[in-house]
Amino acid sequence: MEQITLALAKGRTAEDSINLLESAGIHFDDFTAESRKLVFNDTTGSVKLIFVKALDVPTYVENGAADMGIVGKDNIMESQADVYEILDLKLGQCKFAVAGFADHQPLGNNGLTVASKYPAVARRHFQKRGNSIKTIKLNGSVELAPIIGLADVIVDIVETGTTLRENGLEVLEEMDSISTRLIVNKASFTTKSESVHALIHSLQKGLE
Amino acid sequence: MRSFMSSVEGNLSPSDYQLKNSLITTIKNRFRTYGYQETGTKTFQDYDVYSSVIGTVHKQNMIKTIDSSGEVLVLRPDVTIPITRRMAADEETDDRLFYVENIFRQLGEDSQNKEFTQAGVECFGENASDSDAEMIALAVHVLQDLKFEHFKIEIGHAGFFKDLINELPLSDLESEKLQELIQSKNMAEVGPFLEELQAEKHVINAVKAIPLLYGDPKRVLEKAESIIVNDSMKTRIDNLKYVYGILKAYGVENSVVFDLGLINHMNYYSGIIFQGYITGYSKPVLMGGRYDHLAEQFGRATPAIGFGCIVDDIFKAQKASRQLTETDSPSQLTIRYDSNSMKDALAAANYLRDSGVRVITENTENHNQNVSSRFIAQFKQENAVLFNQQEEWHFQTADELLILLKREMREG
Repeated sequence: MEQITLALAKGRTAEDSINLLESAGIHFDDFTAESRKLVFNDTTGSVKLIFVKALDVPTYVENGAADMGIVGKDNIMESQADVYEILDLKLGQCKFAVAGFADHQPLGNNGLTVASKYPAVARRHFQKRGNSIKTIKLNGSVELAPIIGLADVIVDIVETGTTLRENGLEVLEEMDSISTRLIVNKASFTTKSESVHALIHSLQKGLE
Repeated sequence: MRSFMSSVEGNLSPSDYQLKNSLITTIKNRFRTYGYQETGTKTFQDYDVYSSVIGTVHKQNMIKTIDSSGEVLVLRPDVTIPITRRMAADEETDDRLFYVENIFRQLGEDSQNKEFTQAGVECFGENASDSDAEMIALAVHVLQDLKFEHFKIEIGHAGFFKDLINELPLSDLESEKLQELIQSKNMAEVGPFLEELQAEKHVINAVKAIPLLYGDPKRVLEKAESIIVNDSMKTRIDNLKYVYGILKAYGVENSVVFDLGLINHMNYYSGIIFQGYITGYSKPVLMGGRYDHLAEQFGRATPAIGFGCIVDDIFKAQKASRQLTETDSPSQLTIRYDSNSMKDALAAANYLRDSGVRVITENTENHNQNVSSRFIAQFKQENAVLFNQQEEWHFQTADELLILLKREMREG
């Protein structure tokens, strides 16, 4: 069978993903959480693991640089990659939400300024509501934007809401649920079907 | 010199251009052997035609321009529509046509490449599984001609899916969302999405099964039969079965897989749809299908089927698998002369060119001598000599030169 290249998001879900692969019978001897290596081969040589930035995982998979990827739904939605989204791995479950000050102007107002790490997701959400907005792309500390007056509201991932509360913000509207997904390149799905389906199958088993 | 930094993908080098052209020639020759005749369309097309036809290229993907009378034009975003339109307008016309043309689309927000070469066929007037199968066999044949060893044609059915979701009470927005979920085989979200609809249980189960209907044709057909909810779906399955039978007769059954979750973004497809993937290349290199109702929109009902090869992607896939061999050097013979021998030399050059030899000429008095051809013929007043890196031969007339050259080129 042909070797499968699997792209994994660096960061908080990486270890959980590795554990899931372990329970699916795919072992990486040389992997440790502290390691700074970016490429790993599994013990049987059937899977090559590469670590890339989370938002890049869909790009790698869409362009076939990786056959499959494990990445959060948030990054898939932001990148709008044309890939198969085969399995919900149920890791890192949280939600997208619009957040801001409770006494702020209503969300239905046109011309709101929305700050987010996910400008494409924010734009599409407000488009569906029928509101035109202005987006500001930020790379971190998004909660700061409404406080400092950079934006009216933010669109961000909310797990417990603690960060929001501590900064005096609250969820104004809940959006899509998010969790980690297994994505597959459409060409690999067809042309490397045997190896791809074998891996999907063992991950499915590992989830049970 | 000013250097231009631009986001536009660079032009092909001459040698790449030769390679791309030679693969176009291969494709054209194959199309001809199935009785297709070459045709062409205008680069500037009527915007209204594309914006009013149902299920065509998205408006934001078209590249628009305005002529001096204020008319909005688009750079040909697709070839099937103008060909179908002309077909519908002319009473008498050929029904097997092929084209090699550039199409223009702006995909995504920051797409760099806006121009693509497409080589495709359209077959009008036949609505039978036989012509479906022949079309797919032709697609396989083309990929074989291009020396790809590992590839797959993925076959789906636009009608099968449409017949099924017609049973669901869906708004346009919901239908779009469902297609998106099915297209990405998003099993995790298809379930919850369907549970919220007021629909019969067996219809919901059938929709849920769609993304899993892929792989070995026989197995897919069996599973598909078990989820049928109306008679027209049954007809579609019979169509697929029959097509598969014919593909076996063509001997290409190992090159095809079925995927009933396959949805093409061109909404005008009504029957069988298919796309071709090459192992190791991340995008489909050809796509097509049956579009029986497109011509109706131009006032004449005619069944039709066709497909297009995306030549640029085939070229990249060939390069990636290093299948392309270097082409010949552009010239076979360099003729060198001076002012005394000019008349004889140029007459000989003409004679050889008429015989099909690729010749360049150099005046030795004002030209640096660089060897770019395999053979060089030196004309001097007293003698004339043909030589290459190893040997040399004397000759008197242009005719003798041609005979010598032919003999040596054959042996070399």
